[in-house]
Amino acid sequence: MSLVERLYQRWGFWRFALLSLVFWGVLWPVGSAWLVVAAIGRYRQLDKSPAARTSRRIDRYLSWYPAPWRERYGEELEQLLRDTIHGGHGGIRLTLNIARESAAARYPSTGSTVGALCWSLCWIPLIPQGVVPLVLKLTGASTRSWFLATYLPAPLQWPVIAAMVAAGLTMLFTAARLLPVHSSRTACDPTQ
Amino acid sequence: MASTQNDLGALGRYAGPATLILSSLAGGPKHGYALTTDIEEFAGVRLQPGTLYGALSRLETQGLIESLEADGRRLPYRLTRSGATTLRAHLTVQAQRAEVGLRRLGASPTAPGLAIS
Repeated sequence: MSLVERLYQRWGFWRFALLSLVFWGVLWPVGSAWLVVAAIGRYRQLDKSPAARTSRRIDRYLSWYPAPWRERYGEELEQLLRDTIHGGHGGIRLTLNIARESAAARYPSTGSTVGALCWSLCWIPLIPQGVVPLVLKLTGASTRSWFLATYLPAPLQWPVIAAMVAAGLTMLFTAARLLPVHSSRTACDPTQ
Repeated sequence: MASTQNDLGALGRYAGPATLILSSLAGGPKHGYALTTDIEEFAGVRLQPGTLYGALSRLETQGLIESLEADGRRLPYRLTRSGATTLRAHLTVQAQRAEVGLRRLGASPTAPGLAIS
């Protein structure tokens, strides 16, 4: 039984209808409008002069590099980026180049790249395909959504959930082993 | 040819930019922007800032270049003795390869775009 069905049964028709109306008719549109207005307000407060735009862009580029690398080369690279953008070479190629090189500075070896991939992807088997179907099975919920295990025959569901959790944890531990520890200065030497 | 520790080939995809940077620094110390413009002038290649600093950081780690006192926000770099030796060896090998290629092109009557009189 889904959450909505449970609430409907608990509250009864009129109360459920009233609360639905308040949520969809007031809270949801007011909350969305508030977020949009706040975003517009923040945008209006921004200094939109070309110099300020360039500074924000350079700050964004530099934020893609690891902190120790920025400490060593950030000031020089900032000046070079400023000169490059003022020289008319600040197009999409510059953005792509900084994206590529900052990733290379962050993950300088193949092991680190594999670690980064594992860190990025481990959550998919672990949470939505492992832990969530596990909780659904334990609570007896009928929701299937896009959880693979819930579409399989009953005898296969637990093994698939276990395999997904195992795959996710393996990837997570692999990432933990391969990725540099950022609290350690030596492990994150920008010049390595 | 196998890569030695000081061979620029050990820098992987940064070997090309590293050769250009070392060649530029062979003419005297330069900071990032001066390197970019000098390389564009003599090689017709514009190194993007990210690539330039990726290569500079690796060259500095290998001891092939060193930074000098900052000039405002710009930090000039210069070639070290080891950098000069490595560049000389690298360019000599490149020149030998170029010479062989050019000689073979010149000797071959089927070479495209070359008229042998």
